[in-house]
Amino acid sequence: MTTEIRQTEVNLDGLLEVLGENLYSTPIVSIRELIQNAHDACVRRRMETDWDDNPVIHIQTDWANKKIEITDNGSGLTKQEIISYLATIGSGYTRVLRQTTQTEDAVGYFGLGFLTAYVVADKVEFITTSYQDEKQAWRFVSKGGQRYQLEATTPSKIGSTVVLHLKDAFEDLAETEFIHAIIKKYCCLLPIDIYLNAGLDDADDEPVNRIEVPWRLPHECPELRRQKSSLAFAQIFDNSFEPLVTFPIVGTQECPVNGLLWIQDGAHYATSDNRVTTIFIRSMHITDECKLLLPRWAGFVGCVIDTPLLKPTASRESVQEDEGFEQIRELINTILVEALTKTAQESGPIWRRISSRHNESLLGAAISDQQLFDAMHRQLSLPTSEGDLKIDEILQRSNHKEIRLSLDNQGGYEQLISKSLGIPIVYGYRYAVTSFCRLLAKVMDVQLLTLGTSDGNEAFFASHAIDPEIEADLQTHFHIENTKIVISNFQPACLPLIQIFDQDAILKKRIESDKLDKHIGSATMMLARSFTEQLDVTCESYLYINYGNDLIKDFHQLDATQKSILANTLMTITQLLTGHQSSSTVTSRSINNDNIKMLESLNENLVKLVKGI
Amino acid sequence: MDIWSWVYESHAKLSENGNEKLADYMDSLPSDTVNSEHDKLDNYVKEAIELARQEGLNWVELFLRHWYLQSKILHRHEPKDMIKEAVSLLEFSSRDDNRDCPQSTCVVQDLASCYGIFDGPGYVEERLAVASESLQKINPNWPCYSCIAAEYADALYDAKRFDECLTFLKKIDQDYVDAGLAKDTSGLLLTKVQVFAVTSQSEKARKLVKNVSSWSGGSSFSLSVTMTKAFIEVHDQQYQKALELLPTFDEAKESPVEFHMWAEIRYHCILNLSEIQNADNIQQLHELALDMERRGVYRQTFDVFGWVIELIKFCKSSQSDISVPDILAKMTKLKSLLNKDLGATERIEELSCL
Repeated sequence: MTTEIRQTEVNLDGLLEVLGENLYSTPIVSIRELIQNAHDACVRRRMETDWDDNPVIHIQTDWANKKIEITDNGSGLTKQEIISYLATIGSGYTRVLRQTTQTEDAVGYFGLGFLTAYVVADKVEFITTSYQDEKQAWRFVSKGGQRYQLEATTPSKIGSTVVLHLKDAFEDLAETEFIHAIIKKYCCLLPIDIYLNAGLDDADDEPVNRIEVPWRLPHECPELRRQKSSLAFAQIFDNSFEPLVTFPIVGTQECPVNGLLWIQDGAHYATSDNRVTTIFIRSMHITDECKLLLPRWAGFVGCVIDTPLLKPTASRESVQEDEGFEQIRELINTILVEALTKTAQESGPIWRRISSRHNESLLGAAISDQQLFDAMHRQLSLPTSEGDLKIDEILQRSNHKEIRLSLDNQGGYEQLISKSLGIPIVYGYRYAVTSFCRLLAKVMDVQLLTLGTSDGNEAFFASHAIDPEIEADLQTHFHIENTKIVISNFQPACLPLIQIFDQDAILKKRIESDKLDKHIGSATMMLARSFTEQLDVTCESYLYINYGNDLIKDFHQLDATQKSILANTLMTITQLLTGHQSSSTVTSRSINNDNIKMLESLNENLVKLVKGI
Repeated sequence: MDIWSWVYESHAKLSENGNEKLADYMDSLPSDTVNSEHDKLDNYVKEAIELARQEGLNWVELFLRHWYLQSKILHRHEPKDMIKEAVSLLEFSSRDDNRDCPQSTCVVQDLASCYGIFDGPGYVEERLAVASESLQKINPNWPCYSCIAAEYADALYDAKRFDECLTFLKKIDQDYVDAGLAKDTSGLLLTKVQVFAVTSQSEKARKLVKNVSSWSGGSSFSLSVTMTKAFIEVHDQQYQKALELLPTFDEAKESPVEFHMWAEIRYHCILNLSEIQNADNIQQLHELALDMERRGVYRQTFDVFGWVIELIKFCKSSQSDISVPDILAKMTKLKSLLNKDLGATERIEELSCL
């Protein structure tokens, strides 16, 4: 059997259609690619000749005739170069230039850029005069790219002009303001001046892309001007928010990159991801869609970079996520954390503005980035019953002992007690707060007391040893069925008793009641009950008797009738304060300062009554 | 009952009434769950539930608590910590005001899954009974029909009742067709593929796995599909291919729901590919098992510990410093937590003799 070696055949029509329709996602890319070609032609002319004029690109829009012209004074092409490079897909002179001169100034890669012209134009003209043969100009014309006409034409200045006769769907590209915005954003780093409709009456004769690039400002530039320029630059790349503050990105020898980070001025939900990123590779815009460049937690940050380290994909609308990408990501993460830390430590007006907008987001961010947590755990505020407080303030008010955390907003005795003692309760149900507090407790070596849990109750209502006879007396008179009595000593002293229901007991009771059988299938109930049967439930509620209360302290001195009347009265008051069953948990009624005052007054009167004053 | 249309309506109403934050949380929670953004959702779920409570929106509260359970139980395999909440939510869902909430049926799955994760084979009959009575209350027009059916199919799979499982899946397909709907191409089809894989019908499995897709499964479902592809290969003794398809240890570590399958595939690959028979690879399985044990995954952890011992004994040259007696002690403790022995005692004896 013989082996045949054959050439793969290409269906050019089909291939052009696929490339044209699928390689690029937006018509804006066409303009970007053609400007880049013009740029590279200028680079080439400078490399291959002793040309020292200013390179320049002129763009003319003609909305009425749906036409755009892009003209450069670069190298131009000879007839043979038109055939070899312009009319050959995947072959560009920039690659040759890069290989022969090792230049990094040219930005083209794949020889596909000219193809984009056919995405937006029915007809493409290319008129060129090469520096190699100034006496001969050429005109290339193609409709759709499959076939082209090439003819000699009257020589003009050295350089090239591309004329796009736009398809109806893309006529907006000939709209001056639209093109102006595109050039400003996508070509602002190109070192060649680009003029739009220069010489026309209503045109701005300044180059559209002459924008102050912060990292290209001279070292001696005053800081204030640098900041102003950075804010203005950042604004070009963030369509949704104004930049609040910017931080420079300065690369290293191993990780060459320049750029800018900014914090967005808008307050938004901590869950929102408003990261914006723009990547330039060697001054050529590549993409606005690469959120991964910023850490996931940085939903309120924007960034623009220019680097030779990244590699574009064929469409040049994204970058390859390779080792270089990882290096840059890490560098940006470090710069961002360091910059935020420095701003926070200085605690100036900028930090106040950042924290007033993004405190919640930063709490979440600190949980996921240890470096950030270490740097700013003392700078961030936590929502508490006493307002937003930093951890040092919280600890100061709790005698440096503990962080009191509430997992719901139901009020309750713990709130009352904490309030009376002036200890803030941290609202653990708010965004990221519980996880942040867990880390805080670990790092600062303080106790985290979660209210409403058995551990929390034990800490709040610690058992207090008294004379066994007195305890027995109290146990007898304050007996409630299925309730465990604990003698304790807590603040405020005006509160004689507290009854707290056991959550497990309530769940068990409800699950094991017949009522549910009507609504939940028997097999499901069996599984649920097999869980509640294992719950270690010794009582339905706990009654904490406050031995710091005068009425309780003197209780044993009363006669039997007095004891009975006082116990009943105190229990009724407690029940009034206790025990509505909310949608998911059972807690005490919300107690506020008015209740405390009423309790104090009631307590005072009862003491008088008992003592016969 | 179209749960999602209720969700969209609720979302719109919340936004209209100025509860945009709650609307935003409601919108994010399911997608963050299926895309394994668990750390992210942990940050806001408590606040979301509290906001719903403050507004007295019981149905929204039910929805949020259910999805949090999905994240914690189905995706993160934490039944030990979450079973109390699953029971509590079941009770909440049965209250007069909440019973008609479209999400209330799904709560049953949260509870059944806890037991499935504790000891899948040991609770087969209970899980079948729960799924069966739930299926009787709904029809294929309910999105949760496929979830509950998946619970039923998984129970049959755990019981190794493969023929019965295929028959059941065929019936569910027919239910969808009869209701004028398309057959399920996500979790149920994936179970079917796995049945083919373990019953030496790898060609069928390979063909069918190409049809598996889910519009709502997110990145976690994509990972399950990738794992299943490796699973097919390992059961067809294509160990090298399985290894190539298998996500890395670091990727697997992010997805506790896949620990057992990952460990199983890796175990077979290590046994059969000498180049990966080393202490580090055995250590990875051990690490997963310890993590599973902490989460309250009893039966599957028991399996993985068993594989670790086998590998230590088999790859003697690997010089693993994992203590076999310690693992045997852990297996004995795990055995006491299983609902049914189902060969666990024998397995410990067998491993003790190796």
